[in-house]
Amino acid sequence: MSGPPVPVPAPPELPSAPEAAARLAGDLRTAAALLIEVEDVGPATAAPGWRGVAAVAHAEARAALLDRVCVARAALTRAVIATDRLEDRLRRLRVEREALADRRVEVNEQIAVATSPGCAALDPAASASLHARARALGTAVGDWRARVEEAEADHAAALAALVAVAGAAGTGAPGHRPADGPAPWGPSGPGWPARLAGLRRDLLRRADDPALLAAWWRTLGRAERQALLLDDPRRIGNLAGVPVRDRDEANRVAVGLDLELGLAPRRGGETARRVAELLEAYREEVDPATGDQLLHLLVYRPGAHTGDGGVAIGLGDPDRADDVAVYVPGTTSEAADVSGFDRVEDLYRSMADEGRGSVATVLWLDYDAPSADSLTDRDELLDLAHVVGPARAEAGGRALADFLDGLGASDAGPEARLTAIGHSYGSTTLGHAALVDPDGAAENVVLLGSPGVPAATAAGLTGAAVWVGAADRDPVTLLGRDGLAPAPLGFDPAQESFGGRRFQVDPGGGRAGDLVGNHASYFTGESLANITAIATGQQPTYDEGRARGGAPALAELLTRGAFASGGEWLWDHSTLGRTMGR
Amino acid sequence: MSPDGIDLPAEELAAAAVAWELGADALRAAARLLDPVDAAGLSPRVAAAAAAFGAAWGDELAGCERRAWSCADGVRGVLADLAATDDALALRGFGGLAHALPSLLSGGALR
Repeated sequence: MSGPPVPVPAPPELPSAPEAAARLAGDLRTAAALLIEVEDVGPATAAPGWRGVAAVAHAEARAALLDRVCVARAALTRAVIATDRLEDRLRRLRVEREALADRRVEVNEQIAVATSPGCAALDPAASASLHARARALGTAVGDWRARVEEAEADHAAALAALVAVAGAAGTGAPGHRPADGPAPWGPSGPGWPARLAGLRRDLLRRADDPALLAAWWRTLGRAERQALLLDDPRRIGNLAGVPVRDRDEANRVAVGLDLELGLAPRRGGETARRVAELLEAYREEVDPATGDQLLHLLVYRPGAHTGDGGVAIGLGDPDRADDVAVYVPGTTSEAADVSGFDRVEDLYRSMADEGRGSVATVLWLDYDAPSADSLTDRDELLDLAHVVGPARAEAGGRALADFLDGLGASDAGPEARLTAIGHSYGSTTLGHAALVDPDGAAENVVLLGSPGVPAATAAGLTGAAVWVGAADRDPVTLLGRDGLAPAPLGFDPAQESFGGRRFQVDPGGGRAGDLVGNHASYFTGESLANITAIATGQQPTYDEGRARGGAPALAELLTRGAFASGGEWLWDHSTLGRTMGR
Repeated sequence: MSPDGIDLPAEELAAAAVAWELGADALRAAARLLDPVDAAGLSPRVAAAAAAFGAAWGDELAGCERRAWSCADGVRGVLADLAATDDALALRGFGGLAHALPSLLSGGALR
């Protein structure tokens, strides 16, 4: 072996981006789901009471057309499966490429050192070792290229076979249906309807138990999962226990159907459009931990909650992340404008910057949050009457508990640290979720700017660790019961007697104009740093709990603020004062 | 057809026409997603395969859409014929009354 080896060339870029394959698979899924819609309206085209020659002609035309649609749906389903497989292979190959690129840098650095001027010649053993490493790396790159080639060739062949079928579709000729492939059944085979019906039954039997459902789902093959997903995307996308990635794919189909079939101008249309914009904005963003897409749509129910809609949208993959944080926003939150997603983005970046493992953050807004456009708008304040009642928090709490259970059930690999964070009325909702399911999946419960929770003590609320962020100049945190005053939403968790772990936040300004801002400032500065610490398993900076009478009472705070800022603010907020004083 | 005239399930036919129109809309949307496919970011080989697939099945679905509209139009046509025939039968069966109505309503006998 004479001299060091020549530097190893870089592995080529992937010829196809996984995100592009994901988009193609998504379009194919939506098209297939549209054909299922056609099949679903098929029975309504029958007119069984119609008799006569024209009726016979119509029945024959109807049967032929529905058969063509069935064949097309089967072909599209097979194309979905092939493209979904391509996407998976490309994502794995991209991760492998990065590992190869890292190895190459290491080997080439050693070669550079060995060939640098003035460097002593390598001894034969070291030279042989370096040559061996360079050769092994070259072989690995060659294998990688071959697998890229194979993945693309397999996909192209699968689609080409289906193109041939399209030419015969509608002719009734032999071979006008796509072959079933190696599986004993397939989306186009004669046994398929019975098989799909069986899968539906199995799914429904487990639908109320996320852990059972998740375990069963893991036993399904790709074709079965995709078939169920296409069969009922609106159910699968919102079903606790189904893996996040499959929920995301199903919900994207539902968004596509809503946009393609013209839901957008109707109720729920705003949510569909806003969600679609968000999906588009993140279409090229990749999760550095998994190599998968960064954004996942975990809940999509545009018509829920009397038309306000329900959504859950995450960054990162909660099933595979080490640390997962779920954020529940409060009053004024609307699915149609994805309220609070900016906070989820801030928290994701903050947690990722800690560098302590993979992270995921989720906005959960699938409850009827009391609506008010602004805490400073007098007309909207009239709607705040809803805030002083716990009914929506109770209902939302049950749904949130199910959602968190679902995340716990679909978690893959080592168990994630799950932190649930509620802000404002969302903290009350989270409190009800904790009460419903005290042994739930969340390890940490974080209550921010809370107007009250439905238990007098942290231990009475949940078995999880309870953390409290409450600025003394946030008027909403003074609504909770401190042991004396009646409070419609429950107990102030910042009280020392509550027994929560209060962490430091910016106390906020004392002028009247600052007070509302104080309530909205928990996702910045010291507060955000402490939430990040909790969600990533570190210690926040602690604060003392409130002693009874230690913090200004609400009326006192508002009066102080009004004096500090003049009478105008007090006049503007007199409705708020009356509402909160009830 | 009954011995005395036409007996068609008009409500069923109307529902069938609407269902055909909904189906045709869905078929058009599906065809539009397929032809052309969004192949940005794919290699030439994968993009070509996807484009060929999209064109072939988009064409097939466009054909299905035309057939669906044809069925919808056919059913609507039957409904229109039914309405016209019903009118004609009404005129034949109650022609005298129909002819008498204008004068009846204008005053004469009912005044």
